Amino acid sequence: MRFYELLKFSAQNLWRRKLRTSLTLLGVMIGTASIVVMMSLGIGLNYSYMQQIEQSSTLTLITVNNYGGGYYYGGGYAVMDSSSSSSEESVQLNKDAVERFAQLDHVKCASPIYSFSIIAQSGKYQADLYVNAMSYDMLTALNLPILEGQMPQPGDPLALLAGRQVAYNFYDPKSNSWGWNDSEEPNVDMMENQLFAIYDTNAYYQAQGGETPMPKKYILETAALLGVEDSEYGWSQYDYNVYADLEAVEREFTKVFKKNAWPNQQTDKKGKPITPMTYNQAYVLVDDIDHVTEVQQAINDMGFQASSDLDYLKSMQEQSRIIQYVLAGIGSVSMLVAAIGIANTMLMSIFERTKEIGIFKVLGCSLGNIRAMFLSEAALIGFSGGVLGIGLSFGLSKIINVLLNNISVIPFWLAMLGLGFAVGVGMIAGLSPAIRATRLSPLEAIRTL
Amino acid sequence: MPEIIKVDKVHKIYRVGETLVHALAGVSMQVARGEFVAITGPSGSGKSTLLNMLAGLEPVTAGEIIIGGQHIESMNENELVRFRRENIGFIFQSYNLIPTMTAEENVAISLMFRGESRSLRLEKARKMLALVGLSDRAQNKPSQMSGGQQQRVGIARALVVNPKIIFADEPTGNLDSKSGAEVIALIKKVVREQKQTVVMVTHDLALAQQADRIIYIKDGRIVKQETTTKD
Repeated sequence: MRFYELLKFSAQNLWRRKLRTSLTLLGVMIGTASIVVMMSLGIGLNYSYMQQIEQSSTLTLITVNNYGGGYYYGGGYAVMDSSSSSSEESVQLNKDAVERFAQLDHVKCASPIYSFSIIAQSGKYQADLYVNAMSYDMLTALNLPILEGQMPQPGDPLALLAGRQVAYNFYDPKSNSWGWNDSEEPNVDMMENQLFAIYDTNAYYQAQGGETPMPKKYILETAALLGVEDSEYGWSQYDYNVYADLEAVEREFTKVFKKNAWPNQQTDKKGKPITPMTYNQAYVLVDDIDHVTEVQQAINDMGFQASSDLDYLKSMQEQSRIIQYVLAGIGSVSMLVAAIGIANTMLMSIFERTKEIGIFKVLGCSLGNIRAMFLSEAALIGFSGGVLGIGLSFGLSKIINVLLNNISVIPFWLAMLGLGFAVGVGMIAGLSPAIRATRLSPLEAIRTL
Repeated sequence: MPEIIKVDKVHKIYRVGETLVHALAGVSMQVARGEFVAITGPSGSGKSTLLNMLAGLEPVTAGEIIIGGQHIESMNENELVRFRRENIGFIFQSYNLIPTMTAEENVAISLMFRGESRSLRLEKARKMLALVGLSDRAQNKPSQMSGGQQQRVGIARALVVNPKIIFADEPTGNLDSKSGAEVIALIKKVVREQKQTVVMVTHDLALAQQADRIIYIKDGRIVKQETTTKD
């Protein structure tokens, strides 16, 4: 028998028993819809995690730390010796190491992060700012969300890129009160008001005792304010951080510190700065999210500690996968009930058609054809029920999204999966009745009058 | 004439509870190509059992059945189905038409199992219906036809595959005598025109007289064979 005719024949047989067929279809439809809708909730959850993380960070960014190597806080004090701090051979997070990161496959850009504190003053207000300096390439590659102003160009004098929340750090040291309260704007507008910076913070704090002279202040510009506009999930990390071009910092510090150690630079026992400079952190930007884990592993193998928000996302996704499984499991219960319905319908149909099957066998219908007839009937119930169920799912998903703020997402693959599942369940449920049909003796069948 | 059916010492034993029933006890017979043979005998004689075994519907306990050179007693179910599809047409006592199908669809159904295209099938079916004189009933469902008409559809269905042998099991059993006579006349006509071999089981001696040869069975044995005198 031809495949098309088999299907047509099956459809005709189903049509003969409209009421029973439609009740069975209803079961499959509800079963499919319950699985698809349940899974759509899990997928929606996953999507919202993803969006949340994508908005607040860059998923292709790897942060490299070097906890193994000894390093040093504050200028002038040798805290630990770098060679004895680690049992393994000590690795140094310096420009050479960063250069090696940049040479790894799939790395778009790599830069050391030179982080240091400065004291910024504007009028009577003052703030401790923590500056993250990195290469110009990294600054551009990060696609910093600039709200106001623009990126300083290479070769420009040192200028800050400050998050819009940073201005809230300014306080009045005399009254020791913050320059703002909850409802007010900060007192300093970093773009408008002139800032002065004290880079040698140690000298500043020593000078508070009155014995040493106050360190020199330098004019400091703010080139741009950063922040994510209309962020759905609250403030992003860019709203709070201060960035600067590393080369501009280096030029400025060469001028400011001359031969002395820079902030956070390691020194030997005599207090002389150790070169090359080692950094607490480096950023490595990967070309594609799929390669992040691989690059991260390569950096770890070099002896550094690499981490990324992808790790966080993965654990979130792991959680949402578990939730998905649980939801899909709940949905499958109704699919199981639907499968029992299909099996029941097919068995009934065989009992009713015992005689017909017998006639077919006497007339030379092959056992394979008989099996195929019943299997395709069951598959057809599964398919039609599946199609209706997918339709129902989209409808339910719309309603859920209206009521509950877009938490149900049905991607195309899920719809196809649901349909395939319905057909598969139909065929599995129809298998045993179909085999039963082929085992009927033709003679018994003919005798059934 | 060459023999198309050869039955050699066939036994059929049923187990009914504790006792064994010898339905057939060493039956041997032959049917020649193009012959119209009637098997007759009282009910319970084993005539239907013999026909069912010839058509491969019941397993043989002992002995050989060779049809068209093929041993059918040793075939499995799949082989038997193929054998029936390729060699045999079957006419039932109770017509056994599919109630949801029209006359021409019923005739075409055995062609469907052979994988022929719908258009070719229906064309052949209409030709067959014309042969049995039912051209005007092609679109009717079985329930809209008389018993005699339904049996003629059954005959058309048996013939349409151009089988080597046609088995008929009490083909007139459900018909009044007039329709019965018509049906037998039709079978006879077909045998002549199409040079078909027909084996018919009937308990009606008058009908059996219409065949070329009559085989009498009683208590599972062939008691008499006679060639009918032709007029």
